[in-house]
Amino acid sequence: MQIVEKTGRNKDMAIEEALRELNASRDMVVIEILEDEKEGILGIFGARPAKVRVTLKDDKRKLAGELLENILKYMNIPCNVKLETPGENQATLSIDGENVGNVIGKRGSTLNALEYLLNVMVNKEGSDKIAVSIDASGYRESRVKSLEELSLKLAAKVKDTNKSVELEPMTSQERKVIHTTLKNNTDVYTYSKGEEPYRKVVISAKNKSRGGQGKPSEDGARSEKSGHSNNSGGGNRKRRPSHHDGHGKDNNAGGANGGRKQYAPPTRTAINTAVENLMKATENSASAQLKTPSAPTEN
Amino acid sequence: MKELISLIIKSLVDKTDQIEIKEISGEKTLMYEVKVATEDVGKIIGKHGRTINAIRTLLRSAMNKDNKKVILEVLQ
Repeated sequence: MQIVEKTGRNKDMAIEEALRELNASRDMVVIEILEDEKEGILGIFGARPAKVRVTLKDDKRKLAGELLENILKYMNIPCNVKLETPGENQATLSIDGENVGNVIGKRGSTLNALEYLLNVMVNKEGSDKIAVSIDASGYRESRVKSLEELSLKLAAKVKDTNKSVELEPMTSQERKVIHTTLKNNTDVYTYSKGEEPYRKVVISAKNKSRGGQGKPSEDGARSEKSGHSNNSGGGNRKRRPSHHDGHGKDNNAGGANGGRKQYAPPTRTAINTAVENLMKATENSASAQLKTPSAPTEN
Repeated sequence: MKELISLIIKSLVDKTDQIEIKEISGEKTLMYEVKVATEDVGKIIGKHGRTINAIRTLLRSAMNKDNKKVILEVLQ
């Protein structure tokens, strides 16, 4: 990488001189001001010239393009590489040729590998990093389109069947496409699960009346449980919420234990009554069983 | 093929003079053993083996026409 340090009477003069030496324009370089100029008394005493460091940025972009061309040459894939600069610290390389399918690979696997490798190679040294993205005959764009179509189709399916759908593992950019397409969908919501190379999107139904699928159903189950225990509390129902409020979230377990001790007598009686009920029921059913066989004979 | 590997490894490591690539040719497989300076080993393997796996993916697609398997190993 080309770096030039220049001193001049003021910043602009120093920068201009550096640019002349690098034969570059202002948007192609990174400018660091090492020392600002200082005007001394009467412009003589304590005056200090400005010092700037100018680094040629385009170097990395060119390096990426050359590397890609060489790699493709050794892979025996004849094609053209076009370099574009969509923004600061970005470089887009588009590959065009006959056998581009080989560069793309299955679901863009080779293209993603190439992109990752080039990013690592280009950003090996130097502090300012650039993001290299590679496209092969409009593959990225068509992939985005097909992902949008797929997500809309699956969203309709999820809405109909009320079952969540897991997609295959994708890269973060591809997952983002699905998240953004279904962001404003009123029937489904999306989330990602799994660890990075195998992270995948799940499309789930938003269910307003019930708990819904996935995460909300867990919440629903939990609230159901707590409701049940509140009911079994019986006469103590009023005291229990205040007891809970007194404790923090972390003390919930302890609070629950204290609650259990308090309710021990009622539960024991509840068990007793339940057992009694059961015994009565079995007696009844036994007598019913005795009766039922005789019933048909009577009729 | 060997040139491709050496180009990739060269642009990944710092000590380019310590790269050794050995080709072992089999009937159905091509094996490459790569040796680099100890401080550069991590650079060609990458986080969770991401870099070495990316190289393997590239080699696989470069090999596609010959229908042979490519194995790339890093020796330490």
